[in-house]
Amino acid sequence: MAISTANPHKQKLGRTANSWRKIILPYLFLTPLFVVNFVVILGPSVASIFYAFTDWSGVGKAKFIGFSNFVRLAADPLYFKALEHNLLWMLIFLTVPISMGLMAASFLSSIKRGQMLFRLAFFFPYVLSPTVSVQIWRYIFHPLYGIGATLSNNFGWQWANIKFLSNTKIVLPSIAFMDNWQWWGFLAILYLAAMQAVDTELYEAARLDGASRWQEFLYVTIPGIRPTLGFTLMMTMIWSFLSFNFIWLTTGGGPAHASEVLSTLLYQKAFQSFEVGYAATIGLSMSLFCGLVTLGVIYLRRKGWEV
Amino acid sequence: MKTLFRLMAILLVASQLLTACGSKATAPATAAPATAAPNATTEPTAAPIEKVKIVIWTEPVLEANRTMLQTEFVDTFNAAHPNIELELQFQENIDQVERTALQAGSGPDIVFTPGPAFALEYKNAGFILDLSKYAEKYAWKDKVVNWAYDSGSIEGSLYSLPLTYETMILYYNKKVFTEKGWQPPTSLADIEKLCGEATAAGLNCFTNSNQWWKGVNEWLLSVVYNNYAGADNVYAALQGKKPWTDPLFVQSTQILKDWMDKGWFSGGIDNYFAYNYDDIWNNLCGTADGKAPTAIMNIEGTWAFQRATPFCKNDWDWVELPSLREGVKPGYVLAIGSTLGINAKSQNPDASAEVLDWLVGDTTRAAKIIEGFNFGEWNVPLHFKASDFSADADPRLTRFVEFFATGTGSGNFGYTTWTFWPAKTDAYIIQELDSVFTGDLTVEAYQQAQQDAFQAELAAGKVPLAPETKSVSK
Repeated sequence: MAISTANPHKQKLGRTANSWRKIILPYLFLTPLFVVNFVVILGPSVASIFYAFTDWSGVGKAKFIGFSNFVRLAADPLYFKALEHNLLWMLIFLTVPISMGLMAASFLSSIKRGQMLFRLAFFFPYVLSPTVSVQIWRYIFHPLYGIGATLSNNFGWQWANIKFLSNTKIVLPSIAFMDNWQWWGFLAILYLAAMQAVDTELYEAARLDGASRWQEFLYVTIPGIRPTLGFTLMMTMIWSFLSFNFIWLTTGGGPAHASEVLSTLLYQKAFQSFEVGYAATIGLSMSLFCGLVTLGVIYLRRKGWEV
Repeated sequence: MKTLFRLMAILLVASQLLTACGSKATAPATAAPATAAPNATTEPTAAPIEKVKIVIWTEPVLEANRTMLQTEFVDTFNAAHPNIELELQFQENIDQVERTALQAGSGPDIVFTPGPAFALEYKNAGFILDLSKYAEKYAWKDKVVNWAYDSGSIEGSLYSLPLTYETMILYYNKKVFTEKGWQPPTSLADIEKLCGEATAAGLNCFTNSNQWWKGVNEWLLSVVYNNYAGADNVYAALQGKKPWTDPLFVQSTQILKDWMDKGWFSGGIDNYFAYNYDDIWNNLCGTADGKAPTAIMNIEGTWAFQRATPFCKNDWDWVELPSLREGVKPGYVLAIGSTLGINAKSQNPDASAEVLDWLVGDTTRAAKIIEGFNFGEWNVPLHFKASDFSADADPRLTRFVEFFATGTGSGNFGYTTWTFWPAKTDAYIIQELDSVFTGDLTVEAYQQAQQDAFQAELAAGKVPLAPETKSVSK
């Protein structure tokens, strides 16, 4: 019988050292990310809470003014106008791209030939940078050279030359349309992947029970992709309060605040009006709204909802 | 093997950590000693020249002008100053980038601002140096036109030198005017008659729009304030002696609202909010592919000189903006489009001052740069003579230099909002005029809000110094 000559004490130490390495190593790898996160995100976030209580122009020292910025926010009609626009934006993005994405994914899941081509076509706008997308749509909507203007000039269709980006009544939905063009394809691919994970036997069982196509979609597909659908609904609500790039690049929140949202108002106050303290207050309110959405989701999960 | 892999992984992570924490901001220059090539013999070598690097940040310019600036400004300076290496860096969104850098104690040696109001903010924050000792050493007061020199003075000390001076003028399509038998307007009545005739002929009166630059709003407001209310009344308001709610200012803004309602700005607000910069000039002068002009005049600043000829060839000319009220003398409104100061954290303020003196010290060299920009940018306000400019210079532009010098030299000048208004009030003027145009804000409410914002900034000492005009309105 072979007798082990290894020192059991050293063996125990070796196993403990190995365990410690396994515990510490992941943290070591996470440390750089944490440091960058702290410096770039967490630190400034905490600082912005402080600046929300100050009158600060962005240069020099900040003057503490207590709750004055919050009082001003509560009475600022422009703030509420921007908030209203964010809620409208949320309504648009909770309905249009999600229903388009679901519909496209549902049809895509039932075709085999050419599916990759459609997936590429739907996803392509998503890989473009917002700057490029905005430029494309600016030319499409251009009042002199755009599609509407061309139809008007060549065929006399005056009704076609709609000033989408300068008409205060339709500018916000127009920008939402531009953003949706870029966004819905991503959702379609996401939902397609989720639908492909749904057990096909459920569809067979439904068909055997006489379910129509629509009923299959409603009672098999939707419940089957509920976690993905819930996630995209939650993130859409949060992102609706943070939407900035398309609006800023297209109209800067104008004309006459017709497309103003909280993020563009924050940007203007911080970088154009030298009111960084007040901008920080607006930022805090945006965090509050996002936090409320998150809390709502956590509450629903506790109630057993799969979101 | 496992241990080696772990060690490599840790080193990789550590290197990423150092990279992530690295700063890309340009710090004020530090001395970089230049070394001479070693001699082959054993003779003692000359002491190496200790070269300092000076960095200027400025806003982007057209590519051709970058090359011109490098040749006429940077290279000439470096050749004349072997102990200094000057570097010009162009920054997008320079206001925000520079403000962030300065706040972090970094930034270039020579600080660019888009006007005296910004320079005042930077001075209050301790970002820029008092240049008084350099002003005395280099006699800048004698080199720079008085009103422009004074615009950089705060509480009796100089903090910035003007880089670009500009004013508002009226560009018009000379060819269309000739064809129609029109004359450039010299009064409000002339404008109304001309705009009426243009509209009847299917042409827009003014080609202005603000889709591409919201600041167009303040150009227009500066013009009506000075040419209707009168430069002396504007000066009084800037001193806090007249409110911005005075009927003269209310009526000035109402003029803009009325013109917008009549469709005189590009045909109405839908186009005013939609046309980009190329559209403005194509509308004024037609397009390269033969599309006819659709507007006859453009209210814009002299920075647009560099655009006018490329778009309009010889079909354009300019006139002074007319008086809009009897008893108000027309004149040029003063504007400093940008200034240069020295970063308080610069390690080489003396060398930086030498660069500033190179900019304002020689009228022939400055004239060459101005011609390179077609009088659009970097036109430092010096005491120019006609002989400073080349024989090839566009006579329309040399006429401007001469007329401007004569007009403002006699004390007849007005004030632009971006030079003489405090920052927050100026921001309000720009942002909210749109709401006046759409009818969402009354003119009276707009003026009242201006007054409230201005009073707060006046009390806080944030109104830039303004030279007193000699223009008197009845």
